[in-house]
Amino acid sequence: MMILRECRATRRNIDETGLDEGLAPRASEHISVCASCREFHDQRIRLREMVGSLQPVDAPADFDVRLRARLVGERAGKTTWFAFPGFVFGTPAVAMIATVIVLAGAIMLLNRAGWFSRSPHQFAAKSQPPPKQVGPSPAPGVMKDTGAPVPANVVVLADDRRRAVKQQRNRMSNVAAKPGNVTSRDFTLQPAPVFTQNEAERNAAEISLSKPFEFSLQDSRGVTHKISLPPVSFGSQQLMQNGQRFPPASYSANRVW
Amino acid sequence: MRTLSSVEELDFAAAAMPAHVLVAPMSDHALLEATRTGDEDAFAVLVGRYRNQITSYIYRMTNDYEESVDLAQETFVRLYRAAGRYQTTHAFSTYLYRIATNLAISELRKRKRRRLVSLTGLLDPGDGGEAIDFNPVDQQPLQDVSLVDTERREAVKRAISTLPEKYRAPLVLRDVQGKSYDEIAAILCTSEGTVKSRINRARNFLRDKMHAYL
Repeated sequence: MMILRECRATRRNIDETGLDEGLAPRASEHISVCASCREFHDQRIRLREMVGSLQPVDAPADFDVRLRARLVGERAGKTTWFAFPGFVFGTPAVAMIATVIVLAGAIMLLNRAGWFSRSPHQFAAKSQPPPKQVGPSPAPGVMKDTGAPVPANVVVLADDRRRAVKQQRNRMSNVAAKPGNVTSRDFTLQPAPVFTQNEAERNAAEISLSKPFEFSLQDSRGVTHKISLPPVSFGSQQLMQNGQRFPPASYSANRVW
Repeated sequence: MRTLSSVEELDFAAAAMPAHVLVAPMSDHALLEATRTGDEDAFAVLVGRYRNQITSYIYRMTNDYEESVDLAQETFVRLYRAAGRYQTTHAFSTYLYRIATNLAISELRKRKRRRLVSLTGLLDPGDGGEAIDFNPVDQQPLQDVSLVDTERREAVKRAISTLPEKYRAPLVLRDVQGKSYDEIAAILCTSEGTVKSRINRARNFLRDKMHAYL
């Protein structure tokens, strides 16, 4: 054990000592008694002499000329031109171009799928599972008895129908919100005002469902749109008046809508 | 002070300067400081001092003379470009050797990527070293001593070039360039203990490959 430790220390000393330096006295003593370490020492010395015997290589005579030309060329901006093709056809450049293409493709696909135009309500609606129906689901467009008091003029649609109507509204509101178009309010975020029959009677001077109704709208560009509606009736006797149909809703404007 | 303006002004200052100017040689730091202020002659003196050392070192690392000359020039170009950022915390030669080492190792890695298949595979060190053909030793005694020396030197060169790059750099710096351990540690940005360990392993590699000559 003692000898092994001594051998290790001696060999380390042999390895770390320069060729022109002498070994430590303790290592020298050990070499004189240990044949294995003596052989190691001789082998290492021969190896290092062989490696050290490699002749130094001189730079070529035109080294300075080429270096100076290179520096002048670099200063003149030539290096940039030579370096550019190396970058364009190099692996990093190809990887960068591929990444840009993939990102652009992903953005186009998401944009086409309407990902960026969805409102937070839609995300929430998407994430929530549809409510369970105990009985048979009513047909689309059929009034649904929920048990809650429902205003007379409000029709409760089936869930899927309601969702479709909501999406349709969203699409319309999105189109209207685009810059350059007529601005409008987004009723997907807040309920639209509902005129009931009683309110209409109260404001009979303003809105009368039994009379033709005309109103004007002015858009953000100052264009006035005039819309007239025929009287609204739910009785077949009012569909014809004096043997004639009511004229359809007419519209006039000083500019094209 | 002379400023470089064209390729025609190619005579470097060390050769062109009168003898009386070269009486008191400037230190490397002073020369680099002068280079920083735009003195091309000072840079020329630096190049003259180190061009052979750097070329030789890179040649031992890459075993390709043309490549080593090219990389040595690139070393000086980088030195010139980075002269403004140089800090005198280390010796100038350490800084220069570090640039050269990084370039040489980059070149070795490029070669490794370019290498498709090793036809022999016999001398692949198995831990990232560059495998090249290694001629087995001719056991027949040669008549001419100079031929023996030449063959031995070639064998050493080839054996060094088969070493993994992390062992090759410290071995060349120590046994060929004669650098001290602390200088090698500074060049390779590692500890002195790591340098000693790598040099020891590199010598063991060489011993295994060169045992017929030892």
